[in-house]
Amino acid sequence: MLKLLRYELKSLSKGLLPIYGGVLLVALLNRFIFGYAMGQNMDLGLLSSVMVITVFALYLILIVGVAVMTVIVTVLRFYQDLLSDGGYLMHTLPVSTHALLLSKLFGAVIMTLISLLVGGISLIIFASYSDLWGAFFSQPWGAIFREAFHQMPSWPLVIVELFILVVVSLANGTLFYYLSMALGHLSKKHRVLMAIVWYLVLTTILTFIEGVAFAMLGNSPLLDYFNASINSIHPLLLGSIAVMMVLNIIFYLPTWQILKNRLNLQ
Amino acid sequence: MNEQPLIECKNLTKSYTTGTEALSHVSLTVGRGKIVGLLGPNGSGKTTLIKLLSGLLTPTQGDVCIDGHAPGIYTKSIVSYLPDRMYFPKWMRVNDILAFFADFYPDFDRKKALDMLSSLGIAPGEKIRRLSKGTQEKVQLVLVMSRKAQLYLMDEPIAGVDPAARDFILNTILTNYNEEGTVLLSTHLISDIERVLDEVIFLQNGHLVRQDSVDRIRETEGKSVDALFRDIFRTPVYPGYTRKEA
Repeated sequence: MLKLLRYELKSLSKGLLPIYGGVLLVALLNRFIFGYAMGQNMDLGLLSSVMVITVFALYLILIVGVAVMTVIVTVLRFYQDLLSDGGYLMHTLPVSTHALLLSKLFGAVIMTLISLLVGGISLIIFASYSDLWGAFFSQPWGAIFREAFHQMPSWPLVIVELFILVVVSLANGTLFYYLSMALGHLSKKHRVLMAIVWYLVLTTILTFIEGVAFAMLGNSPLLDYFNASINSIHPLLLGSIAVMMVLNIIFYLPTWQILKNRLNLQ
Repeated sequence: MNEQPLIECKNLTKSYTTGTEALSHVSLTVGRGKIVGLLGPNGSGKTTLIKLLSGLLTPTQGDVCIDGHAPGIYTKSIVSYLPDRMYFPKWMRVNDILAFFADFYPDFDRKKALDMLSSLGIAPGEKIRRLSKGTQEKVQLVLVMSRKAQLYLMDEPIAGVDPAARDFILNTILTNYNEEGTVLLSTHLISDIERVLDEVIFLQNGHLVRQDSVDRIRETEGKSVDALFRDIFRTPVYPGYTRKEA
């Protein structure tokens, strides 16, 4: 599986690193342009104003592009490599279907995490045109941490749990796309269209179930327990992680079954 | 040489949800060290049988065994499959696919592949999608033949290819395959391929019509395999109008 993961990351990088690099460069460009604008006390001529607006718009477009392209490329790779002509290569490798699926999943999750990191870094680069760092370092961090430990001694664990929840949720979203595509593959014709149909149908069903679940939760004594103390955030996070993992397994198994036993490459 | 047959199909059936039966109760065995032609008109089940052997399809009924195992990780490691389409990931250069094969197939001979590619004038640094379709097919053939596999499965390797390239492909197969292994190639272009075949399997409408060695066919029928094919699969020609009636 690790060998496959290596190739998967290589493949995804070729598609995505250019735009990640682009957004970082444009963020840097914005930082300098805005810094210049600040220096002029926002009293700019027409040409300079147009330049500032253009560069800023470019940044926004690229940030959205990073998010959109990451989804598109991970979905496309799955389709091309496992459900289209690439399947003739992948499914005849001496590896298990689990290895094929998991390498795709982990590759997608890792790449999405990188895209979030890149987005965050680009924001920091951009915002550093102001005296952000000065303000950051002059905060009374020592006092803040001591207070945090006093109120909630286990707060670093919360950070860890949040991170796990993010990873598991990303996997959930990716598996949802994979499942829709796998179900679409079961049709003889119009497979891409059927994948989209399945995606919409499953989203509707899932939203309905979530709505019912939250309504039930709201009426139960569970809610009072959660509101009791700030430390009850742990069960909330752990509970959410557990629910996500169950959903992940529910999405994974049919996808795996279809790829293993109901494959029908055209 | 191992006495156990390399391929064993028992009552092998593949039908689709639409109801069509692509392969119907096919039972056959294929030994080792042979070049076998899988012959039949379009839609006779040749590709279905090859996909079942390579593990890309699962049987609806019956069994298929390669070297005594059902299709799975072991059989995929001893089967070298050449499909009738390009399967390269779009981002790869020739070097990348060579490294890929070396990574996943222990029986892949990278040096042999590089030698074959250089004799074809294909540079290893090239992006695969920039190559012409014919050149891509040659790269795919080189990859398949550079493996020391026990079973080579080739789906229509010479269809849609000019006569000179056909000779190249057939000669490459002949000179490069592992002699302890078996080559199973499907085609409907028989006259070109007859000279290399040891055995033939005839399929029609998903049924096994005949399996025999080429020598025995020539002895008993007194005709070439190509002529026998035409006899078996003859379709009556619509008579049309004669000039008098028009």
